[in-house]
Amino acid sequence: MSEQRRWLRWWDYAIALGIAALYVVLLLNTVGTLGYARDEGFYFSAAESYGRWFELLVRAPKEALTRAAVDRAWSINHEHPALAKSAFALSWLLLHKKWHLFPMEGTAFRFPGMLSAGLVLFILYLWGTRARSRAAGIAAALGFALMPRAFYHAHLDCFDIPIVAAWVACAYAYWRSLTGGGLRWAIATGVLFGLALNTKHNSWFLPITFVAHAVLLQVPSLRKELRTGTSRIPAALLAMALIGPLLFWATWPWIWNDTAQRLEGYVAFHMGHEYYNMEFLGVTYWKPPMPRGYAWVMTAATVPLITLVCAAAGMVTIAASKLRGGSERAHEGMTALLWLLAIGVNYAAWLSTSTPIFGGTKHWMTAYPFLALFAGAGLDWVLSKARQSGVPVIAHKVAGPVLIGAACVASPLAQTLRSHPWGLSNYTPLVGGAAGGATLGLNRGFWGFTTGAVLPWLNQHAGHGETICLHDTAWASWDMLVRDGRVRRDLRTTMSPADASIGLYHHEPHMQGVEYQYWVAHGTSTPVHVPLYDGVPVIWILARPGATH
Amino acid sequence: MKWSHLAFLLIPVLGVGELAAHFWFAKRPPNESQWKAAAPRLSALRKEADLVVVAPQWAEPVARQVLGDAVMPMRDVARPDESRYAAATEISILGKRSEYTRGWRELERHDEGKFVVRRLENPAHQKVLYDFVDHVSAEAATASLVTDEARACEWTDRAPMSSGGLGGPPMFPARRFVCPGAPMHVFVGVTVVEDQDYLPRRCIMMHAPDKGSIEATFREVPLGKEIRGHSGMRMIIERELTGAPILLEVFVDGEKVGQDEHRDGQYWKPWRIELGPHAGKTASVTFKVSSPREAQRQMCWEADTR
Repeated sequence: MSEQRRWLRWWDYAIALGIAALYVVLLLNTVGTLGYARDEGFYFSAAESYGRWFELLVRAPKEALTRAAVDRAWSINHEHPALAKSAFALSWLLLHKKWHLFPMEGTAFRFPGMLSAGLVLFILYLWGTRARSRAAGIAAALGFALMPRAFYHAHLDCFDIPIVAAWVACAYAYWRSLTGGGLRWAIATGVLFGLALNTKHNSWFLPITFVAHAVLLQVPSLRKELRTGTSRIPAALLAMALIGPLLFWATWPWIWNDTAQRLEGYVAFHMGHEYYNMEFLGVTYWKPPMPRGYAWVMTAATVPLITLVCAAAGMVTIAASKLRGGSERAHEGMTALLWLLAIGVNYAAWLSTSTPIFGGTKHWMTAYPFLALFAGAGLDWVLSKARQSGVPVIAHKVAGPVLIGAACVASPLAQTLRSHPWGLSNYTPLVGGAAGGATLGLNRGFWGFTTGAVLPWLNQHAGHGETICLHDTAWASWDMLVRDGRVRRDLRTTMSPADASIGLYHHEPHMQGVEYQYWVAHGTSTPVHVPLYDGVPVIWILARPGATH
Repeated sequence: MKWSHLAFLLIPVLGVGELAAHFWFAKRPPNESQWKAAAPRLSALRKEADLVVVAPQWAEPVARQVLGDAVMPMRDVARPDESRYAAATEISILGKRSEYTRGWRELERHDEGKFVVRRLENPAHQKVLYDFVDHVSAEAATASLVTDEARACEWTDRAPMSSGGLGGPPMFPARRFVCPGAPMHVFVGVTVVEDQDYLPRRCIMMHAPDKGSIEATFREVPLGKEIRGHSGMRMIIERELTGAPILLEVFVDGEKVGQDEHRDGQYWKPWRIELGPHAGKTASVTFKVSSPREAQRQMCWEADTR
């Protein structure tokens, strides 16, 4: 098999590790200015509960394994599985409480999420390199790393990046099992599927993708195989079926008891999830029908255009190569089919008008590594054309890739760095940036995390002992800011605008009434602080006269 | 070499183009210090009594911050509509125009860096003689809860404020008529609700009681040819479309002159009552609110005479 794939060299692993490590360092360097998202607050509380159980497990294993102890610890936030929260808990126990590596508790909780992001890049480099070239591997890793929304989520103690990591790891193992990896990669697929199941329900799409992939691969010979009874089920699928559910059960103590009933509850929660409000093109959607174009438009509006164009180029060139009778690259078609299915399956839910859209882009973020892999393939094609062009500099073995790579990475890098700490307020130049997004009526942010962006102002200007209405920031998220020493301890908090002398307002149209409640309570509609993200108000502060200075 | 062989270069060129576009879009709107620096000039260009509108609308919070209550008072920001204003000062950025002053005649235009300031004349201006929302006070009005008998509601400046956050009622103001024996949410007072476009509307909240009606009577009201008003409630409540109709009846010197029945889904709805023989007089005007079912019937209305 021609180029597929020379064994990776040790330095390939070093490069992958280097990219991952650099990204984690970048995340650690920027995490201190990012406020805590609403859901993070809930997961802090859950992780602390699980952490206490782990401590009990070490101290008194018998007691920890009693039904009462398990249920007491793991009932909190049982609508989501436990792996990521367990990792948050262990990170907090070890890296903050025991070894004092992270002085801020919040950072310790968040660290496993950052490591997950690093793992995604690690796998993308290896996969891109194995499937095509080192340039494709680097481009795939950077293509994902430099998506502003992915960068935001990579900071959090949430499940969205961990499930991306679990998803792409499982897909990579499945692919390895089909490309000469043998039984160990099939078993790895089963193990990773079990871990993915215990990370987030996006994992339910994994078997759909792989079964579809296996079936489509066998289509040319399916009739014959069925007739002769020689059709084979890939070992990875069998491993998923056998190992996955067992590992899922084993690593989620909540379902150790009343397993069927609790699993039913878990599935029912997600299949019948309530609809939260989400603004899209000037309309706030809060009940079906949801807009069918949401996922596609939001992808175009939030993923750098150059990444999307490279991905499109990758898809087109691979398709063209297949149409011309295949390329020299072994497995190119089946690899591209897997990536394409991964994208399609992860987006498919949003073709239904009854699928909630409240989570914005994070809900289909599991498709982004595969977009990035195609982007790597696209850049690989550009570089091959450059080499063949004979144009001075561009065709140069070193200068060409460096120049072209820089041209393709500069914009995603600039956008990603500039998006911090506003994350979800970022929009790409395709829609006119943040201001364009606001003009189009695209959601300016949710989860109340932008409180982090006004903390310096609050710490400096809030009167002593004033009461702050947190609006969309969860209590536990604010509490973590206090525990981390990021906000003054004398400031009191409330969720009632009527009781607050200072009010935070995180803008979403459906919450606008909360701002008006501050107006009436304070007797003024003049905010005291309106920080701007590229000219756009995202969060602002209102105060009773005299409550700030 | 054919040019088509260089087509691949479009991709890196696009990358550089996107980078340039990113910085251009990021720097295009005024930043905080540019807003603050421009504020004195923006204020100076506004004439007394002008409505101030901002385009695009999403930039309004920062305009409110730098211009303050004197230039953008809550009364204007949470206006019922634009018809009462003879002129407006439009502060425009990014080449946008305000939809609220569309069709108004441009009187002046000033280019001030990233801002364009226009003075605009309202071609359909109507002079307001009396604004009921401005007169919710012990000096100008009385209120009562009418069940089997009428019970007077008492004016206070220090009623406990209350609000329902996201999904509850609007803010119960400190200055309001409190009705003895009635639940806390049954009162007469000025608050602000969001309309169907989430815009602020300053209005008089009179939650329908479970029995009978709640009334507000304004003394010595100079009447024009008509009473014009709007009625509605918080969008987030009304959009559920599950509430009973709310009846708002209007009386002049005890004689019923008209009514508005508000049904969920009508949102911030204008209404108009011609005063016929009462036109031009000074009289007492009573507004009476009732509903067959009181759950979430947090009627908020505004009216004036013209």
